[in-house]
Amino acid sequence: MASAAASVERAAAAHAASVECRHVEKWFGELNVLADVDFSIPAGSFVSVLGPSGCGKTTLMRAIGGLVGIDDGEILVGGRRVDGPPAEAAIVFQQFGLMPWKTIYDNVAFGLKVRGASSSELEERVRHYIDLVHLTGFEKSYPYQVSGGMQQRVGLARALAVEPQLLLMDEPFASVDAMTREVLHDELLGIWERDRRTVVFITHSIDEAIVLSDQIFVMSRSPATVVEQIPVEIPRPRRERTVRGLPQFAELREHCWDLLERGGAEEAARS
Amino acid sequence: MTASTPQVAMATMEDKRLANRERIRKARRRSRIAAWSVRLASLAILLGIWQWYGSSVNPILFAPPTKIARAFGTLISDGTLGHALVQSLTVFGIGLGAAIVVAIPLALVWARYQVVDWAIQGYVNALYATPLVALVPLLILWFGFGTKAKAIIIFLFAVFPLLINTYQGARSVERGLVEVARSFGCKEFATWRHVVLPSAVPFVAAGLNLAVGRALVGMIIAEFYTSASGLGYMVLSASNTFQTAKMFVPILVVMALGVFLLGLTRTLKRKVSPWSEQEGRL
Repeated sequence: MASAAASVERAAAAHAASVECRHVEKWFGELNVLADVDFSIPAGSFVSVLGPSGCGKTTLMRAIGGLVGIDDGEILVGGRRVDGPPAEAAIVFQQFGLMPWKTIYDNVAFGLKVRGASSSELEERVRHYIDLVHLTGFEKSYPYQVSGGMQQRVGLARALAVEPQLLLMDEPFASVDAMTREVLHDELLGIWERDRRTVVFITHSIDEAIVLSDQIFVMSRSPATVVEQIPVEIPRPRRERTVRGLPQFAELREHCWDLLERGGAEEAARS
Repeated sequence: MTASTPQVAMATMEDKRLANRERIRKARRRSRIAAWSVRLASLAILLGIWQWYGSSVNPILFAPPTKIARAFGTLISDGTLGHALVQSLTVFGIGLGAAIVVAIPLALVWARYQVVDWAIQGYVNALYATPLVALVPLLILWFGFGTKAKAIIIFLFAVFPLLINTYQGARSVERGLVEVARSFGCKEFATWRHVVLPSAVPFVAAGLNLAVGRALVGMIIAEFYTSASGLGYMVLSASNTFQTAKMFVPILVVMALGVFLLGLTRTLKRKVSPWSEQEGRL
Protein backbone atom coordinates (compact mmCIF):
# COMPACT_ATOMS: atom_id res chain seq x y z
CA MET A 1 0.00 0.00 0.00
CA ALA A 2 2.71 2.44 0.99
CA SER A 3 4.58 1.98 -2.26
CA ALA A 4 1.40 2.55 -4.27
CA ALA A 5 0.93 5.88 -2.55
CA ALA A 6 4.56 6.74 -3.26
CA SER A 7 4.25 5.92 -6.94
CA VAL A 8 1.12 8.00 -7.16
CA GLU A 9 2.87 10.91 -5.53
CA ARG A 10 5.80 10.68 -7.90
CA ALA A 11 3.43 10.64 -10.82
CA ALA A 12 1.53 13.75 -9.81
CA ALA A 13 2.35 16.42 -12.33
CA ALA A 14 1.39 20.00 -13.00
CA HIS A 15 -0.41 19.10 -16.23
CA ALA A 16 -2.64 16.54 -14.55
CA ALA A 17 -5.93 17.14 -12.76
CA SER A 18 -7.31 15.27 -9.78
CA VAL A 19 -10.81 13.80 -9.82
CA GLU A 20 -13.10 13.60 -6.86
CA CYS A 21 -16.51 12.01 -6.63
CA ARG A 22 -18.41 12.80 -3.47
CA HIS A 23 -21.45 10.65 -2.75
CA VAL A 24 -22.49 10.67 -6.38
CA GLU A 25 -25.96 9.40 -7.12
CA LYS A 26 -27.66 9.02 -10.47
CA TRP A 27 -31.13 7.87 -11.41
CA PHE A 28 -32.64 7.07 -14.80
CA GLY A 29 -36.30 7.40 -13.95
CA GLU A 30 -37.00 4.63 -11.46
CA LEU A 31 -33.62 3.00 -11.98
CA ASN A 32 -30.85 3.80 -9.54
CA VAL A 33 -27.70 3.65 -11.66
CA LEU A 34 -25.07 5.07 -9.33
CA ALA A 35 -25.42 4.83 -5.58
CA ASP A 36 -23.09 6.71 -3.28
CA VAL A 37 -20.04 6.58 -5.54
CA ASP A 38 -17.28 8.11 -3.50
CA PHE A 39 -13.59 8.20 -4.38
CA SER A 40 -10.74 10.47 -5.19
CA ILE A 41 -8.14 10.05 -7.88
CA PRO A 42 -4.86 11.88 -7.34
CA ALA A 43 -3.50 13.93 -10.21
CA GLY A 44 -1.33 11.94 -12.60
CA SER A 45 -2.79 8.58 -11.69
CA PHE A 46 -4.07 5.92 -14.08
CA VAL A 47 -7.28 4.43 -12.70
CA SER A 48 -9.37 1.73 -14.29
CA VAL A 49 -13.03 1.44 -13.44
CA LEU A 50 -13.82 -2.24 -13.75
CA GLY A 51 -17.32 -3.64 -13.74
CA PRO A 52 -19.74 -5.89 -15.52
CA SER A 53 -21.43 -4.66 -18.71
CA GLY A 54 -24.35 -2.38 -18.03
CA CYS A 55 -23.35 -1.68 -14.41
CA GLY A 56 -23.23 2.06 -14.89
CA LYS A 57 -19.49 2.62 -15.33
CA THR A 58 -20.01 4.43 -18.62
CA THR A 59 -22.59 6.63 -16.91
CA LEU A 60 -19.99 7.42 -14.27
CA MET A 61 -17.49 8.42 -16.95
CA ARG A 62 -20.07 10.54 -18.76
CA ALA A 63 -20.87 12.27 -15.47
CA ILE A 64 -17.18 13.05 -14.87
CA GLY A 65 -16.97 14.28 -18.47
CA GLY A 66 -19.92 16.59 -17.85
CA LEU A 67 -22.11 14.95 -20.50
CA VAL A 68 -24.82 13.90 -18.03
CA GLY A 69 -25.88 15.57 -14.83
CA ILE A 70 -26.02 13.78 -11.48
CA ASP A 71 -28.88 13.72 -9.02
CA ASP A 72 -26.95 13.99 -5.80
CA GLY A 73 -23.42 14.56 -4.56
CA GLU A 74 -20.74 16.34 -6.53
CA ILE A 75 -17.88 15.71 -8.90
CA LEU A 76 -14.73 17.81 -8.89
CA VAL A 77 -12.17 17.88 -11.67
CA GLY A 78 -8.99 19.76 -10.81
CA GLY A 79 -10.78 21.00 -7.69
CA ARG A 80 -13.62 22.57 -9.65
CA ARG A 81 -17.18 21.34 -9.64
CA VAL A 82 -18.26 19.70 -12.90
CA ASP A 83 -21.11 21.50 -14.62
CA GLY A 84 -20.90 20.69 -18.33
CA PRO A 85 -17.80 19.30 -20.05
CA PRO A 86 -14.72 20.48 -18.13
CA ALA A 87 -12.05 22.19 -20.21
CA GLU A 88 -9.40 20.00 -18.53
CA ALA A 89 -10.89 16.76 -19.87
CA ALA A 90 -10.93 14.95 -23.19
CA ILE A 91 -12.76 11.73 -23.95
CA VAL A 92 -11.80 8.72 -26.05
CA PHE A 93 -15.06 7.10 -27.10
CA GLN A 94 -15.91 3.44 -27.36
CA GLN A 95 -17.29 3.71 -30.90
CA PHE A 96 -14.41 6.08 -31.81
CA GLY A 97 -16.80 8.98 -32.54
CA LEU A 98 -14.89 10.16 -35.60
CA MET A 99 -16.46 12.55 -38.09
CA PRO A 100 -16.73 10.51 -41.29
CA TRP A 101 -16.57 13.65 -43.44
CA LYS A 102 -13.28 14.82 -41.97
CA THR A 103 -9.89 13.46 -42.93
CA ILE A 104 -7.76 11.89 -40.23
CA TYR A 105 -5.82 15.14 -40.00
CA ASP A 106 -8.99 17.19 -39.53
CA ASN A 107 -10.39 14.71 -37.01
CA VAL A 108 -7.25 15.01 -34.89
CA ALA A 109 -7.39 18.79 -35.28
CA PHE A 110 -11.05 18.96 -34.26
CA GLY A 111 -10.67 19.54 -30.51
CA LEU A 112 -7.90 22.05 -30.99
CA LYS A 113 -9.89 23.96 -33.57
CA VAL A 114 -12.96 24.13 -31.36
CA ARG A 115 -10.84 25.30 -28.46
CA GLY A 116 -9.41 28.04 -30.64
CA ALA A 117 -5.76 27.05 -31.09
CA SER A 118 -3.74 29.34 -33.35
CA SER A 119 -3.12 27.85 -36.77
CA SER A 120 0.64 27.40 -36.36
CA GLU A 121 0.21 25.72 -32.99
CA LEU A 122 -2.58 23.58 -34.39
CA GLU A 123 -0.53 22.27 -37.28
CA GLU A 124 2.46 21.47 -35.12
CA ARG A 125 0.45 19.67 -32.46
CA VAL A 126 -1.66 17.71 -34.92
CA ARG A 127 1.48 16.48 -36.70
CA HIS A 128 3.05 15.59 -33.37
CA TYR A 129 0.13 13.51 -32.12
CA ILE A 130 -0.51 11.86 -35.48
CA ASP A 131 3.12 10.81 -35.36
CA LEU A 132 2.80 9.66 -31.74
CA VAL A 133 0.02 7.21 -32.61
CA HIS A 134 1.85 6.06 -35.76
CA LEU A 135 -0.58 7.48 -38.30
CA THR A 136 1.91 9.54 -40.30
CA GLY A 137 1.12 9.08 -43.98
CA PHE A 138 -2.60 8.66 -43.36
CA GLU A 139 -3.38 12.35 -42.74
CA LYS A 140 -5.44 12.66 -45.90
CA SER A 141 -7.31 9.37 -45.52
CA TYR A 142 -10.88 9.24 -44.28
CA PRO A 143 -11.84 7.13 -41.25
CA TYR A 144 -13.80 4.62 -43.35
CA GLN A 145 -10.64 3.89 -45.32
CA VAL A 146 -8.67 2.61 -42.34
CA SER A 147 -9.05 -0.28 -39.87
CA GLY A 148 -10.83 -0.14 -36.51
CA GLY A 149 -7.53 -0.12 -34.66
CA MET A 150 -6.34 2.85 -36.69
CA GLN A 151 -9.64 4.64 -36.17
CA GLN A 152 -9.19 4.39 -32.42
CA ARG A 153 -5.65 5.71 -32.80
CA VAL A 154 -7.26 8.75 -34.41
CA GLY A 155 -9.65 8.99 -31.46
CA LEU A 156 -6.72 8.81 -29.06
CA ALA A 157 -4.68 11.39 -30.96
CA ARG A 158 -7.68 13.75 -31.07
CA ALA A 159 -8.04 13.56 -27.30
CA LEU A 160 -4.29 13.85 -26.63
CA ALA A 161 -3.94 16.79 -29.02
CA VAL A 162 -5.84 19.11 -26.69
CA GLU A 163 -3.28 18.09 -24.02
CA PRO A 164 -5.94 17.36 -21.44
CA GLN A 165 -5.17 17.20 -17.75
CA LEU A 166 -7.70 14.40 -17.54
CA LEU A 167 -8.17 11.69 -20.15
CA LEU A 168 -11.44 9.79 -19.97
CA MET A 169 -11.45 6.53 -21.89
CA ASP A 170 -14.69 4.63 -22.35
CA GLU A 171 -13.86 1.00 -23.18
CA PRO A 172 -11.74 2.37 -26.00
CA PHE A 173 -10.38 -0.96 -27.17
CA ALA A 174 -13.53 -3.06 -26.76
CA SER A 175 -14.28 -3.08 -30.46
CA VAL A 176 -10.84 -3.81 -31.89
CA ASP A 177 -9.44 -7.31 -32.35
CA ALA A 178 -7.33 -8.95 -29.64
CA MET A 179 -3.94 -8.58 -31.31
CA THR A 180 -4.49 -4.94 -32.17
CA ARG A 181 -5.71 -4.37 -28.64
CA GLU A 182 -2.44 -5.64 -27.20
CA VAL A 183 -0.44 -3.37 -29.49
CA LEU A 184 -2.62 -0.42 -28.50
CA HIS A 185 -2.18 -1.24 -24.80
CA ASP A 186 1.58 -1.08 -25.15
CA GLU A 187 1.38 2.16 -27.10
CA LEU A 188 -0.91 3.71 -24.51
CA LEU A 189 1.45 2.59 -21.74
CA GLY A 190 4.37 4.19 -23.58
CA ILE A 191 2.52 7.45 -24.14
CA TRP A 192 1.14 7.62 -20.63
CA GLU A 193 4.39 6.74 -18.87
CA ARG A 194 6.00 9.71 -20.59
CA ASP A 195 3.59 12.47 -19.58
CA ARG A 196 1.39 10.96 -16.82
CA ARG A 197 -1.89 12.70 -17.31
CA THR A 198 -4.71 11.58 -15.07
CA VAL A 199 -6.59 8.76 -16.78
CA VAL A 200 -9.96 7.27 -15.94
CA PHE A 201 -10.22 4.11 -18.00
CA ILE A 202 -13.56 2.31 -18.19
CA THR A 203 -13.32 -1.40 -18.95
CA HIS A 204 -14.93 -4.75 -18.38
CA SER A 205 -11.68 -6.60 -18.98
CA ILE A 206 -9.78 -7.56 -15.82
CA ASP A 207 -6.55 -8.15 -17.74
CA GLU A 208 -6.68 -4.78 -19.42
CA ALA A 209 -7.27 -3.06 -16.07
CA ILE A 210 -4.26 -4.79 -14.47
CA VAL A 211 -1.91 -4.19 -17.37
CA LEU A 212 -2.62 -0.47 -17.58
CA SER A 213 -3.53 0.90 -14.17
CA ASP A 214 -2.09 2.25 -10.94
CA GLN A 215 -5.38 1.48 -9.25
CA ILE A 216 -8.44 -0.54 -10.15
CA PHE A 217 -11.85 0.55 -8.89
CA VAL A 218 -14.10 -2.49 -8.93
CA MET A 219 -17.78 -1.64 -9.29
CA SER A 220 -20.79 -3.66 -8.26
CA ARG A 221 -23.83 -4.43 -10.32
CA SER A 222 -26.51 -1.72 -10.34
CA PRO A 223 -27.03 0.34 -8.37
CA ALA A 224 -23.32 0.64 -8.96
CA THR A 225 -20.89 1.67 -6.32
CA VAL A 226 -17.15 1.22 -5.88
CA VAL A 227 -16.65 -2.05 -3.99
CA GLU A 228 -12.90 -1.91 -3.64
CA GLN A 229 -9.95 0.19 -4.75
CA ILE A 230 -7.14 -2.19 -5.63
CA PRO A 231 -3.61 -0.82 -6.03
CA VAL A 232 -1.62 -2.40 -8.85
CA GLU A 233 1.97 -2.48 -7.63
CA ILE A 234 3.63 -3.58 -10.81
CA PRO A 235 6.62 -1.38 -11.66
CA ARG A 236 6.73 0.75 -14.78
CA PRO A 237 7.63 0.91 -17.59
CA ARG A 238 5.29 -1.97 -18.31
CA ARG A 239 4.65 -4.03 -21.40
CA GLU A 240 1.62 -6.25 -21.65
CA ARG A 241 3.48 -9.51 -22.34
CA THR A 242 5.84 -9.02 -19.42
CA VAL A 243 3.06 -8.02 -17.04
CA ARG A 244 1.05 -11.09 -17.96
CA GLY A 245 3.99 -13.29 -16.95
CA LEU A 246 4.28 -11.86 -13.44
CA PRO A 247 2.96 -13.74 -10.38
CA GLN A 248 1.22 -10.52 -9.18
CA PHE A 249 -0.77 -10.52 -12.39
CA ALA A 250 -2.34 -13.89 -11.62
CA GLU A 251 -2.98 -12.90 -7.99
CA LEU A 252 -4.65 -9.62 -8.93
CA ARG A 253 -6.65 -11.37 -11.58
CA GLU A 254 -8.00 -13.89 -9.05
CA HIS A 255 -8.77 -11.12 -6.58
CA CYS A 256 -10.67 -9.00 -9.11
CA TRP A 257 -12.49 -12.04 -10.33
CA ASP A 258 -13.61 -12.94 -6.77
CA LEU A 259 -14.89 -9.42 -6.21
CA LEU A 260 -16.84 -9.39 -9.46
CA GLU A 261 -18.31 -12.82 -8.78
CA ARG A 262 -19.40 -11.77 -5.34
CA GLY A 263 -21.10 -8.82 -7.03
CA GLY A 264 -23.04 -11.31 -9.14
CA ALA A 265 -21.13 -10.52 -12.29
CA GLU A 266 -20.27 -13.98 -13.59
CA GLU A 267 -20.50 -12.78 -17.15
CA ALA A 268 -17.79 -10.15 -16.80
CA ALA A 269 -15.27 -10.87 -19.48
CA ARG A 270 -12.55 -13.31 -18.51
CA SER A 271 -10.64 -12.19 -21.57
CA MET B 1 16.21 -29.18 -58.42
CA THR B 2 18.38 -27.31 -55.92
CA ALA B 3 16.90 -25.12 -53.19
CA SER B 4 16.29 -21.66 -54.61
CA THR B 5 17.94 -18.63 -53.02
CA PRO B 6 15.66 -16.02 -51.39
CA GLN B 7 16.24 -13.65 -54.33
CA VAL B 8 15.04 -16.24 -56.81
CA ALA B 9 11.99 -16.94 -54.64
CA MET B 10 11.27 -13.23 -54.49
CA ALA B 11 11.57 -12.91 -58.24
CA THR B 12 9.16 -15.79 -58.74
CA MET B 13 6.70 -14.18 -56.34
CA GLU B 14 6.96 -10.91 -58.21
CA ASP B 15 6.42 -12.69 -61.53
CA LYS B 16 3.34 -14.42 -60.17
CA ARG B 17 1.98 -11.17 -58.87
CA LEU B 18 2.47 -9.48 -62.22
CA ALA B 19 0.95 -12.41 -64.09
CA ASN B 20 -2.04 -12.35 -61.79
CA ARG B 21 -2.52 -8.63 -62.23
CA GLU B 22 -2.35 -9.07 -65.98
CA ARG B 23 -4.94 -11.86 -65.85
CA ILE B 24 -7.36 -9.70 -63.83
CA ARG B 25 -6.84 -6.77 -66.20
CA LYS B 26 -7.61 -8.94 -69.22
CA ALA B 27 -10.72 -10.42 -67.62
CA ARG B 28 -12.01 -6.94 -66.85
CA ARG B 29 -11.35 -5.82 -70.38
CA ARG B 30 -13.14 -8.84 -71.82
CA SER B 31 -16.24 -8.20 -69.72
CA ARG B 32 -16.23 -4.52 -70.69
CA ILE B 33 -16.08 -5.43 -74.37
CA ALA B 34 -18.90 -7.95 -73.90
CA ALA B 35 -21.09 -5.38 -72.14
CA TRP B 36 -20.63 -2.80 -74.88
CA SER B 37 -21.21 -5.33 -77.65
CA VAL B 38 -24.54 -6.30 -76.09
CA ARG B 39 -25.51 -2.65 -75.59
CA LEU B 40 -24.74 -1.73 -79.19
CA ALA B 41 -26.46 -4.82 -80.55
CA SER B 42 -29.54 -4.06 -78.47
CA LEU B 43 -29.60 -0.48 -79.75
CA ALA B 44 -29.19 -1.63 -83.36
CA ILE B 45 -32.07 -4.09 -83.01
CA LEU B 46 -34.28 -1.48 -81.38
CA LEU B 47 -33.56 1.07 -84.12
CA GLY B 48 -34.07 -1.59 -86.76
CA ILE B 49 -37.49 -2.56 -85.46
CA TRP B 50 -38.42 1.08 -85.00
CA GLN B 51 -37.32 1.94 -88.53
CA TRP B 52 -39.27 -0.98 -89.99
CA TYR B 53 -42.43 -0.39 -87.96
CA GLY B 54 -42.21 3.42 -88.16
CA SER B 55 -42.08 3.31 -91.97
CA SER B 56 -45.00 0.93 -92.24
CA VAL B 57 -47.62 2.86 -90.26
CA ASN B 58 -49.41 6.12 -90.86
CA PRO B 59 -46.81 8.94 -90.49
CA ILE B 60 -49.26 10.89 -88.30
CA LEU B 61 -48.99 8.20 -85.64
CA PHE B 62 -45.31 7.36 -85.71
CA ALA B 63 -42.00 8.27 -87.31
CA PRO B 64 -38.96 6.16 -88.15
CA PRO B 65 -35.51 7.14 -86.81
CA THR B 66 -34.32 8.41 -90.20
CA LYS B 67 -37.15 10.96 -90.38
CA ILE B 68 -36.55 11.99 -86.78
CA ALA B 69 -32.87 12.53 -87.57
CA ARG B 70 -33.80 14.71 -90.50
CA ALA B 71 -36.20 16.71 -88.33
CA PHE B 72 -33.39 17.10 -85.81
CA GLY B 73 -31.18 18.59 -88.50
CA THR B 74 -33.84 21.04 -89.63
CA LEU B 75 -34.72 22.17 -86.11
CA ILE B 76 -31.09 22.71 -85.22
CA SER B 77 -30.20 24.60 -88.38
CA ASP B 78 -33.19 26.95 -88.22
CA GLY B 79 -32.42 27.66 -84.55
CA THR B 80 -35.78 26.50 -83.22
CA LEU B 81 -34.33 23.79 -81.01
CA GLY B 82 -31.55 25.93 -79.57
CA HIS B 83 -33.97 28.73 -78.80
CA ALA B 84 -36.44 26.41 -77.09
CA LEU B 85 -33.67 24.74 -75.11
CA VAL B 86 -32.42 28.08 -73.81
CA GLN B 87 -35.96 29.12 -72.85
CA SER B 88 -36.55 25.85 -71.03
CA LEU B 89 -33.23 25.83 -69.23
CA THR B 90 -33.72 29.44 -68.13
CA VAL B 91 -36.99 28.79 -66.30
CA PHE B 92 -35.66 25.44 -65.07
CA GLY B 93 -32.60 27.17 -63.60
CA ILE B 94 -34.60 29.95 -61.96
CA GLY B 95 -37.16 27.55 -60.46
CA LEU B 96 -34.64 24.98 -59.22
CA GLY B 97 -32.23 27.65 -57.98
CA ALA B 98 -34.98 29.35 -56.00
CA ALA B 99 -36.02 25.99 -54.55
CA ILE B 100 -32.46 25.32 -53.35
CA VAL B 101 -32.06 28.79 -51.88
CA VAL B 102 -35.39 28.64 -50.05
CA ALA B 103 -35.53 24.97 -49.04
CA ILE B 104 -32.17 24.44 -47.38
CA PRO B 105 -32.22 27.32 -44.86
CA LEU B 106 -35.93 26.80 -44.19
CA ALA B 107 -35.38 23.08 -43.55
CA LEU B 108 -32.58 23.85 -41.10
CA VAL B 109 -34.76 26.25 -39.14
CA TRP B 110 -37.53 23.66 -39.27
CA ALA B 111 -35.22 20.97 -37.91
CA ARG B 112 -33.83 23.21 -35.18
CA TYR B 113 -37.00 24.67 -33.69
CA GLN B 114 -39.73 22.41 -32.40
CA VAL B 115 -42.23 25.28 -32.72
CA VAL B 116 -41.57 25.56 -36.45
CA ASP B 117 -41.87 21.78 -36.73
CA TRP B 118 -45.31 21.82 -35.12
CA ALA B 119 -46.35 24.80 -37.22
CA ILE B 120 -45.37 23.65 -40.71
CA GLN B 121 -44.88 19.90 -40.84
CA GLY B 122 -48.52 19.21 -41.72
CA TYR B 123 -48.55 21.63 -44.66
CA VAL B 124 -45.27 20.43 -46.07
CA ASN B 125 -46.34 16.80 -45.97
CA ALA B 126 -49.74 17.60 -47.45
CA LEU B 127 -48.27 19.63 -50.30
CA TYR B 128 -45.62 17.01 -50.96
CA ALA B 129 -48.35 14.39 -51.27
CA THR B 130 -50.53 16.57 -53.52
CA PRO B 131 -50.20 15.92 -57.26
CA LEU B 132 -48.99 19.42 -58.02
CA VAL B 133 -50.38 19.31 -61.55
CA ALA B 134 -53.74 19.93 -59.91
CA LEU B 135 -52.51 23.34 -58.74
CA VAL B 136 -51.24 24.50 -62.13
CA PRO B 137 -54.50 26.15 -63.32
CA LEU B 138 -54.71 28.00 -60.02
CA LEU B 139 -51.10 29.17 -60.32
CA ILE B 140 -51.78 30.43 -63.84
CA LEU B 141 -54.74 32.35 -62.51
CA TRP B 142 -52.52 34.00 -59.92
CA PHE B 143 -49.26 34.49 -61.78
CA GLY B 144 -50.25 34.66 -65.45
CA PHE B 145 -48.64 32.85 -68.36
CA GLY B 146 -45.14 34.29 -68.32
CA THR B 147 -41.72 33.29 -67.09
CA LYS B 148 -42.70 34.03 -63.50
CA ALA B 149 -45.53 31.50 -63.58
CA LYS B 150 -43.29 28.87 -65.14
CA ALA B 151 -40.54 29.40 -62.61
CA ILE B 152 -43.03 29.18 -59.74
CA ILE B 153 -44.44 25.91 -61.04
CA ILE B 154 -40.93 24.43 -61.32
CA PHE B 155 -40.08 25.81 -57.89
CA LEU B 156 -43.08 24.05 -56.34
CA PHE B 157 -42.20 20.76 -58.01
CA ALA B 158 -38.61 20.92 -56.78
CA VAL B 159 -38.90 22.47 -53.34
CA PHE B 160 -40.52 19.67 -51.33
CA PRO B 161 -38.03 16.84 -51.77
CA LEU B 162 -35.23 19.28 -50.93
CA LEU B 163 -37.07 20.59 -47.91
CA ILE B 164 -37.94 17.17 -46.54
CA ASN B 165 -34.56 15.60 -47.20
CA THR B 166 -32.61 18.45 -45.64
CA TYR B 167 -34.90 18.37 -42.62
CA GLN B 168 -34.39 14.65 -42.19
CA GLY B 169 -30.66 14.97 -42.70
CA ALA B 170 -30.38 17.54 -39.93
CA ARG B 171 -32.66 15.48 -37.69
CA SER B 172 -30.97 12.13 -38.18
CA VAL B 173 -27.53 13.31 -37.06
CA GLU B 174 -25.82 10.65 -35.00
CA ARG B 175 -26.28 11.54 -31.33
CA GLY B 176 -22.89 10.10 -30.47
CA LEU B 177 -21.18 12.67 -32.69
CA VAL B 178 -23.10 15.53 -31.11
CA GLU B 179 -21.78 14.26 -27.80
CA VAL B 180 -18.22 14.15 -29.14
CA ALA B 181 -18.59 17.76 -30.21
CA ARG B 182 -19.95 18.80 -26.82
CA SER B 183 -17.18 16.97 -24.98
CA PHE B 184 -14.61 19.02 -26.88
CA GLY B 185 -16.39 22.19 -25.87
CA CYS B 186 -18.64 22.92 -28.87
CA LYS B 187 -21.55 25.20 -28.12
CA GLU B 188 -24.65 25.06 -30.28
CA PHE B 189 -23.35 27.01 -33.28
CA ALA B 190 -20.11 25.03 -33.45
CA THR B 191 -22.01 21.76 -33.10
CA TRP B 192 -24.15 22.70 -36.11
CA ARG B 193 -21.16 23.74 -38.10
CA HIS B 194 -19.00 20.72 -37.35
CA VAL B 195 -21.56 17.95 -36.96
CA VAL B 196 -25.17 18.64 -37.95
CA LEU B 197 -24.56 20.36 -41.30
CA PRO B 198 -21.92 17.98 -42.63
CA SER B 199 -23.97 14.94 -41.68
CA ALA B 200 -26.97 16.41 -43.54
CA VAL B 201 -24.96 16.81 -46.76
CA PRO B 202 -25.69 13.36 -48.24
CA PHE B 203 -29.39 13.87 -47.54
CA VAL B 204 -29.35 17.26 -49.26
CA ALA B 205 -27.58 15.73 -52.26
CA ALA B 206 -30.16 12.93 -52.45
CA GLY B 207 -32.90 15.58 -52.19
CA LEU B 208 -31.30 17.52 -55.03
CA ASN B 209 -31.33 14.39 -57.17
CA LEU B 210 -35.07 13.96 -56.57
CA ALA B 211 -35.70 17.68 -57.04
CA VAL B 212 -34.01 17.72 -60.45
CA GLY B 213 -36.23 14.90 -61.70
CA ARG B 214 -39.37 16.60 -60.45
CA ALA B 215 -38.28 20.02 -61.74
CA LEU B 216 -38.00 18.57 -65.24
CA VAL B 217 -41.56 17.28 -65.00
CA GLY B 218 -42.64 20.69 -63.72
CA MET B 219 -40.84 22.40 -66.60
CA ILE B 220 -42.68 20.43 -69.29
CA ILE B 221 -46.03 20.82 -67.55
CA ALA B 222 -45.48 24.55 -67.16
CA GLU B 223 -44.69 24.85 -70.86
CA PHE B 224 -47.78 22.86 -71.78
CA TYR B 225 -50.11 25.09 -69.87
CA THR B 226 -48.60 28.55 -70.11
CA SER B 227 -47.34 30.80 -72.91
CA ALA B 228 -45.70 29.35 -76.00
CA SER B 229 -42.07 28.66 -75.23
CA GLY B 230 -39.54 25.96 -74.58
CA LEU B 231 -39.28 22.27 -75.30
CA GLY B 232 -42.72 21.51 -73.86
CA TYR B 233 -44.34 23.89 -76.31
CA MET B 234 -42.33 22.34 -79.17
CA VAL B 235 -43.86 18.95 -78.34
CA LEU B 236 -47.31 20.47 -78.13
CA SER B 237 -47.14 22.47 -81.37
CA ALA B 238 -45.68 19.56 -83.36
CA SER B 239 -48.42 17.34 -82.01
CA ASN B 240 -51.15 19.87 -82.88
CA THR B 241 -49.92 20.04 -86.45
CA PHE B 242 -49.42 16.27 -86.76
CA GLN B 243 -45.69 16.59 -87.38
CA THR B 244 -44.82 13.44 -85.53
CA ALA B 245 -41.13 13.32 -86.50
CA LYS B 246 -40.67 16.86 -85.16
CA MET B 247 -42.46 15.90 -81.97
CA PHE B 248 -39.86 13.26 -81.19
CA VAL B 249 -37.01 15.77 -81.27
CA PRO B 250 -37.82 17.74 -78.07
CA ILE B 251 -38.87 14.49 -76.37
CA LEU B 252 -35.44 12.99 -77.05
CA VAL B 253 -33.75 16.20 -75.92
CA VAL B 254 -35.67 16.22 -72.64
CA MET B 255 -34.78 12.56 -72.18
CA ALA B 256 -31.09 13.30 -72.70
CA LEU B 257 -31.34 16.28 -70.38
CA GLY B 258 -32.86 14.12 -67.66
CA VAL B 259 -30.21 11.43 -67.98
CA PHE B 260 -27.47 14.04 -67.92
CA LEU B 261 -28.79 16.04 -64.94
CA LEU B 262 -29.59 13.00 -62.83
CA GLY B 263 -26.15 11.58 -63.57
CA LEU B 264 -24.66 14.92 -62.61
CA THR B 265 -26.44 15.06 -59.23
CA ARG B 266 -25.54 11.44 -58.49
CA THR B 267 -21.89 12.22 -59.20
CA LEU B 268 -22.19 15.31 -57.05
CA LYS B 269 -23.55 13.23 -54.17
CA ARG B 270 -20.66 10.79 -54.49
CA LYS B 271 -18.18 13.65 -54.57
CA VAL B 272 -19.52 15.55 -51.56
CA SER B 273 -20.17 12.54 -49.34
CA PRO B 274 -17.86 9.67 -50.22
CA TRP B 275 -18.32 8.19 -46.74
CA SER B 276 -22.07 7.67 -47.17
CA GLU B 277 -21.50 5.90 -50.49
CA GLN B 278 -19.14 3.60 -48.65
CA GLU B 279 -21.72 2.76 -46.00
CA GLY B 280 -24.26 2.07 -48.70
CA ARG B 281 -22.00 -0.50 -50.30
CA LEU B 282 -21.14 -2.33 -47.10
